[in-house]
Amino acid sequence: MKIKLIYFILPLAVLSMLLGVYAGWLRLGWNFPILAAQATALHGALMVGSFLGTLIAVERVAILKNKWIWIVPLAFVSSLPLLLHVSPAAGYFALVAGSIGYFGVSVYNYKKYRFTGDLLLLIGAVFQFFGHLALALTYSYPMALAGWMAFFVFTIVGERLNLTRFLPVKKNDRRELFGWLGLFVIGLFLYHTDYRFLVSISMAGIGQWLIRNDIARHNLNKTGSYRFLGITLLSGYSWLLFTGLIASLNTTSPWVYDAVLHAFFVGFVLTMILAHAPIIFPSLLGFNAKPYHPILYGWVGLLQVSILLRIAGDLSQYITLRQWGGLLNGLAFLGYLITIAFLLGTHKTKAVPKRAADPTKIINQSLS
Amino acid sequence: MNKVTKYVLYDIIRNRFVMGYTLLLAAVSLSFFSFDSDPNKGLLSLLNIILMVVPLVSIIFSTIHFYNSYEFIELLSAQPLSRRSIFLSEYIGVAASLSLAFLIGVGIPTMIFEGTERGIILIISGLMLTLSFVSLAFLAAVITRDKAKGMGLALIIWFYFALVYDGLVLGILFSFSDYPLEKVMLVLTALNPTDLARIMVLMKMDISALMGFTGAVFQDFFSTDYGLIIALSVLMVWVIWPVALATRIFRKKDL
Repeated sequence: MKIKLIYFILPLAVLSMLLGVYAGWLRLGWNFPILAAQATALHGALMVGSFLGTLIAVERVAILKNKWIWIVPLAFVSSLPLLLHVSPAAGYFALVAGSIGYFGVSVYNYKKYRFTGDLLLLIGAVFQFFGHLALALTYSYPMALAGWMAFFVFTIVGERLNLTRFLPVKKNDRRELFGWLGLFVIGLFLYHTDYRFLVSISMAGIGQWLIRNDIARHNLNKTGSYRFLGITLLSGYSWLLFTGLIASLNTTSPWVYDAVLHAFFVGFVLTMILAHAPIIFPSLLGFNAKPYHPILYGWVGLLQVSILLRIAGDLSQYITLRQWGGLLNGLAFLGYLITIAFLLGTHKTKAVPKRAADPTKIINQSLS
Repeated sequence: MNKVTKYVLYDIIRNRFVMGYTLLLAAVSLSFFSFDSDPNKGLLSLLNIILMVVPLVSIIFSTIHFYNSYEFIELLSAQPLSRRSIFLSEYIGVAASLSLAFLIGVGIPTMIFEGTERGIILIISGLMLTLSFVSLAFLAAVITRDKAKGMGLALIIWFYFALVYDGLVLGILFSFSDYPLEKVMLVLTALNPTDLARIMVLMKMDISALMGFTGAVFQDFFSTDYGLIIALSVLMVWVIWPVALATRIFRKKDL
């Protein structure tokens, strides 16, 4: 009897997300009962490491035949019980261990396929490792932030290049992308000097490049889930561009820091997760289904509006606006995931035939 | 019935997943007891990990196993065997194998490092949790023939007991904080097997004194033999009622 580890890893990752979102609400000042006191201080590690780190690692190892490789997402998700019930240090080092394994997976994939996208994913893996290591050594989220942001930028751009590699992209456009990415890395190292504008310009540059060159714009002419994918992807890219603009504000205010952080992680990263969720989740769980309903637009729309509220609250230092923005951020994300789960549950699902069970094939079929 | 139970048990024991689960539990238990000089602290950390992992593994593994064994169950149903004995054999086979994994992975290290009353209570609580979540898994699996829905239902049950229930109880505590809720809390605790297992172990540890007035009421109740017997009986009810209901549904079900 074959037992897929994904059925054990995914619930724990979702639990990390729920606790992370709840911790975020408490941190915003909502007077809710404290469920797990330790989680409140670990909002960033739970969301970036235990939830997103696990999710991305699962997606990457699902296509590999070696079952032992599942130890990588297991390491990531083990950070949840360790963070909550042992010590933050133990949880952080579980994330470091997971990111080392993830780096190994990325090296293997790059050596095997030699795609440009895989190279970017590999670079992202290096940044993820340094991000988690910085957190484990310093216990400081601002110290980990640069590594985490670079991880997501390289991973998302790499994934998009891999998924749309059949699209004709001119050589000059590719050079432009690498230029923006290079500038972004340089900018990260110079962020605390007078050259912080490099990060702003490069993020805006990467955002506009993705808007121009990704398949998302082509999907706008289609209908149903394809159009939904296109609109959601373009929303995510716009948030990257917008993050660049906010980051250009020449201030050390913690309000601006919060605005940059959430424009990037909620606006860009979570919107990208929402865009891919209807394709990725069913394929990972082994269902031949692509859940879609127009109601998904409602949740994505609510997420976009609520981030705007939150950022407006941050920049105007209007706490109530910030609180409501944050609350609606979480509710929109949860509502979206519940809708996807409901659509999957009510869909006439059938197990994926063995020959078609490769998630990459299913994803490519869905995107083509 | 014995033959079917033996077959299911041997089949699962040889499964690599169950071996991995046993090794994982053993590694976690040994590391907590070895790395922490205070066995009390090691036991507390182990308790928290058990409360998160054991229900999840028990409910998901049992649900998947039930659906994967459906053809075997259909085959057995064509034989001169009662539905009840087929279903209970499956249940006992799965429950016994997961309990064995727990006893080897957690029971042996706990008895070596902390073979005290609280260590024994931890092992009993973990075993009862395993049995009750296997029962809940079988209930979820017989409610619907669709594997996706069954898995979804099992996950909802786990999320409910792992997170949502505590949130609801805290919400009630918050909303009615002006009223004496200590006795109500005792009843509410009994409605969640995970909470019941947690309280049973915590009341045998020194930290129960830090839990405020409600903790004192809990201490008065659970630290007595009478309280412990009541708690174990309630946990036993959590083992029996889901599997009894599931058996009833299975007997009338059109396979």
